[in-house]
Amino acid sequence: MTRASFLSRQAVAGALLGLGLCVAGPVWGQSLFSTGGLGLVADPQDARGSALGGIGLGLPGPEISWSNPAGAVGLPAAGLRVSFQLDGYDATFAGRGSTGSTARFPLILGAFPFGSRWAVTAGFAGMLDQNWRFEQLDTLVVGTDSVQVLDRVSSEGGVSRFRVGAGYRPLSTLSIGLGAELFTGGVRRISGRIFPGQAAPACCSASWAYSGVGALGSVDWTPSEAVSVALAASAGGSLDAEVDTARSGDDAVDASYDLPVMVNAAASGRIAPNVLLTLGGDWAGWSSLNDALEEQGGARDSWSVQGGVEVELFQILGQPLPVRLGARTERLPFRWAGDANEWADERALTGGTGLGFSGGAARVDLSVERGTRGSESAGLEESYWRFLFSATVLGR
Amino acid sequence: MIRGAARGAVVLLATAALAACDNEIPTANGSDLFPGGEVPTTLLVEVTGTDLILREEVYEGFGDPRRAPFLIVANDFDGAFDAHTLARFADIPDSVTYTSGTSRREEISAYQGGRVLTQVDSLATFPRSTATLYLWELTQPWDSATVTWENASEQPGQETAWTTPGGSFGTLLDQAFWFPGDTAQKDTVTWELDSLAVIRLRSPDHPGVIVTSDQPGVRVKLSALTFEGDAHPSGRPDTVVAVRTSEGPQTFVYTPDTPQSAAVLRAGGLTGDRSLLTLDLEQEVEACPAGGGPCSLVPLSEVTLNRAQLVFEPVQVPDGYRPLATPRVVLRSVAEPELGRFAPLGAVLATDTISPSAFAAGTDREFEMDLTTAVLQFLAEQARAEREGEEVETELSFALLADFEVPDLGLLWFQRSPTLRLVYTLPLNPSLP
Repeated sequence: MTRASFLSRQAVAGALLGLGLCVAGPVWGQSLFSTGGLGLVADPQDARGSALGGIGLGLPGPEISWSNPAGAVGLPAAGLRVSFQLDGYDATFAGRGSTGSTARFPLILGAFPFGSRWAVTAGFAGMLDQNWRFEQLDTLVVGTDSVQVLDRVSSEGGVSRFRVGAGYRPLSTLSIGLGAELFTGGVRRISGRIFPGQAAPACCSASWAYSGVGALGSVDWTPSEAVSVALAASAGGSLDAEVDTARSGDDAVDASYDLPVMVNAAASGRIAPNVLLTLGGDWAGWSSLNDALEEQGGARDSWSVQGGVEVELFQILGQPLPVRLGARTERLPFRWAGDANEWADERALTGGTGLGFSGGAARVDLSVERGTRGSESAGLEESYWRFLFSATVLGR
Repeated sequence: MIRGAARGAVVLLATAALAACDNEIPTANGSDLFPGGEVPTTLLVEVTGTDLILREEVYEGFGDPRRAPFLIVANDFDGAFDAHTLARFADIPDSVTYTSGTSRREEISAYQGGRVLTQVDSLATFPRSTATLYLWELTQPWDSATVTWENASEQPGQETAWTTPGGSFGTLLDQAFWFPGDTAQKDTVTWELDSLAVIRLRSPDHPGVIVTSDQPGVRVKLSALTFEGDAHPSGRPDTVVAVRTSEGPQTFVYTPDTPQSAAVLRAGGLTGDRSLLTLDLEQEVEACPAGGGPCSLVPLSEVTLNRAQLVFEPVQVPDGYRPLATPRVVLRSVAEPELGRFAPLGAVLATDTISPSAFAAGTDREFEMDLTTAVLQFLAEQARAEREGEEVETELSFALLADFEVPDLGLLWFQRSPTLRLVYTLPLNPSLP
């Protein structure tokens, strides 16, 4: 590799990082379920894993994985992965409807191998989406005038996390990883009434800044060339919300929430030279927040099961063009609009493809997801489309 | 190839980044979804009388009818108002400049005749139908600085009454018609003069002319009168050159005098009336949550003020003095109200037009002036002063004035003690789960 091409890769990686960081901080609104509990739990996905049902680790070979820092051991070069997501939802509740769309960068992740036994990963991703808005149009009689007003309660912001990890390969088939993460972000809540000529309520608002720390560990095991297994777990102490006094009323108070333990496990197996099967599961102990979120309907442990298949059916320019299909079922941790409603689940069918370049030095993946959340008994039913694009660049 | 692929990825994601600029916040409609069921509560309170008004004073004399930028002719307008226009052409030219090969200036040997012209302001004329206007010669001299309907002069020690109130006139010079909407005349009224009339008007001692109307109920607003003469230069007696002049005093006399009432707030009119008010903005308002619970009184600064209106009640003005053109009511801040009529005027706090019919018979409507911005700025300044330990101002003073886009002699009268109507929303306290 020449110095020019190395510098070119650095520039490309820097450009991707810069683009992603521009919008990666806040977790933009994806669903009305963001109103429940602490918000909608966001998955830091890349398009390949998303196309396989939402699997985040356990794929064969070295991988740049958010959940699994051990997976980066053995990468041939430093790499950068950026994902871009387009969402559109259609919701119905109590005879009313709502639609929306968003575009966001759910994941930016870099991996830096050091020899064949060590690797470091660092990345930034969203965790909790707290973007939502409730409105009600009304008419007031003021003197001899009828004045149309709009009542609004809104929340804008969310929780993101910056994660660093390190992986080490003590054995040729086993890698272990450890990491730490910082929780960050903020939220601004507004409650008020908008009169004609106003763009927003003149009162009242409060802002909080989030902070917290957590730790994670992972194990990546390749018992054979055809099978890969990975297990990851993370735990955070507490998520602290500190009032921004300059932007809040006197009655706003700090808050603190226990962060759950999260466990991810997955396995993949090549059943034929061009066929890969994947199976994974996640669990998070959100029930630790049940008492704290009692007024919002409490919280329960969430889990998810994902499965998929990847088949290399075609080739373009000498590179395989895989077809990926997957499915996922998931139990969401928070209720919509209080304990009068049942808990909500999510189900999705996924698909996608990808194309590598120059022996895997660069890759673009795309996925499409069609899913539903909630039910009539849950008070809110949503269907959504999600499109995910990922670009991975290795510096060689 | 790797470079091209990587660049392609960059382009793809850059395009996507631009698309990421527009995100929608998931929105649901329904107050039943509001956290805790808390819905904003908006209340209305009206404050008037001694709870609000600290000062109410009326002053006149900011205008001089003799300096009005218009002339009036009226005959029994609204059954009460009469006005005649007086003019004296002091400097009808005796020489003329014309071009005949070269520019020449010569004495005028004679006037063949001439005319007097004026423009009718149709927007301030009633009714807007054909009007007959008469131009007469005055027979009695008058003092332009002190002339009134009753007296040709009110100079101290030289008071002289008109032999006929409203102006003593003799020879009818001409009558003319105003046809509203006439595309040829275009609101111009012309009285023709013969050569003898011009000779008389040129005399230095001539008292001038007077314009009247005999149509009952008419009030016509005129621009300045212009004399136009058809002059023969002495060197070219067969040539006619038009000369024009408006030089000389022009005014109008009227009856009755501008009415004044101590019972109302006044603005406008020929005497330029204005009213001065001071409001006490150290108000407490009720805070009664819609969902029940005890009510309390809280300072105005602790609620969200959505609207502040000063509500006036127009009063029928005396016959003859109702505005014909659309007036604009203006509130201007006054920093030193203790100076009374000498208090300098500050920035405009509020302004709005009002229908002239609000001051006619049968009026029964409110006139609301939006003070929201002014009161919000006032409360913000109060908060700043409190924070910085400065003296907190609690009073808002302003002058009530009339402004006409089309000058008019109309009066604006309002009941004393206007009402301050406040619309405010009780604060909610956003919180986290």
